[in-house]
Amino acid sequence: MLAILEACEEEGEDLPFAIILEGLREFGISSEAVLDELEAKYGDMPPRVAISMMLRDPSWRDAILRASKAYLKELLEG
Amino acid sequence: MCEQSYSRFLTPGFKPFDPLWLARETERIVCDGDKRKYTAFYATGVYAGIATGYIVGCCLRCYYCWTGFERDFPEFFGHFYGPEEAMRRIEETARRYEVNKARISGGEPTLCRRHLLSLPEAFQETDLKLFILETNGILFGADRSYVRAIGRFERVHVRVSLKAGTPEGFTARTGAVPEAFELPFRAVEALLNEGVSFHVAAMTDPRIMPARERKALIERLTEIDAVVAANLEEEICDPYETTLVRMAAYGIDPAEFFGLRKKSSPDAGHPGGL
Repeated sequence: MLAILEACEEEGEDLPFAIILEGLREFGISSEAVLDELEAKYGDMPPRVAISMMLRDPSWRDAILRASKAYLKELLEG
Repeated sequence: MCEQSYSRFLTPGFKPFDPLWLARETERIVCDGDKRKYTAFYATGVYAGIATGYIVGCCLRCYYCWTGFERDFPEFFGHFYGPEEAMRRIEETARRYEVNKARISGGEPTLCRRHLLSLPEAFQETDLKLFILETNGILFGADRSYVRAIGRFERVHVRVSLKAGTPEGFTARTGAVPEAFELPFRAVEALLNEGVSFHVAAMTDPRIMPARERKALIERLTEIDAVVAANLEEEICDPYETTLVRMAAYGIDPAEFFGLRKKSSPDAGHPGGL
């Protein structure tokens, strides 16, 4: 999840979430099964919209909360 | 009592306005019952392709704004459309350009409440996947019941665009009184508490917002919710024609701002960079 938040910062809103996931796939970040699931559910959404939707998905909520706290530390201290 | 004049471009030494007052005045021009003024229906590449209804009228006057001159002179532009007709045009556009998302943009969608609350209803009849409302959060922040009313619709996502991290920056960039600075943050809290799908964007371009103000904005969002803050979409200012004109009217040299000409003096800054 942290890698997704970092990638969204670089890519903006004009690419579908699937492109972000593809980048993570190429770098071997996260498992194929996880990326497949995210792509099927949210792949054609804008990245920020996809993250908002994942937050409302009980299976992703905790991971997003943890990643957000770590990402914010980077953002505010970096 | 001194009568307030309708705000158009920001100019140096402008008198800050109440954005709720400007919203009401603009609604007198761009709303008619459940109808609202639009200038166009088209598709664009943002959000990886989205059908867009281009609406008229806003309650802020950001000097870097990219929208057409109908923001400043709403009397002169657009035609009235009811919610069903507007959504039919948006849906037709989506089919023509083979995209599955829709939005209204170019103005403040929360003006003309009757129109806005009927649009998502019409959207539910379409097979489009997502309807995005891009708002400055002023009216949502002023009325929680408005947020609740939007929250009952499926497949609707709200994008709240913040303009500042301090009251002073808010006034310098938008023209609105500093007391209104809190309203968009209240909108964020209301969207969160009402369970609406949303995310926050902010014009944190360092040429417009100083680093310390950006930090204050992110910290303020973090106080509200860590995920909302981490999912912040940071915007960059681009040299649209209307942006250049608005900057020039405000006393900012666009060529200097966009790095095409050297600054004329060491302290030639921008009014937003307080």
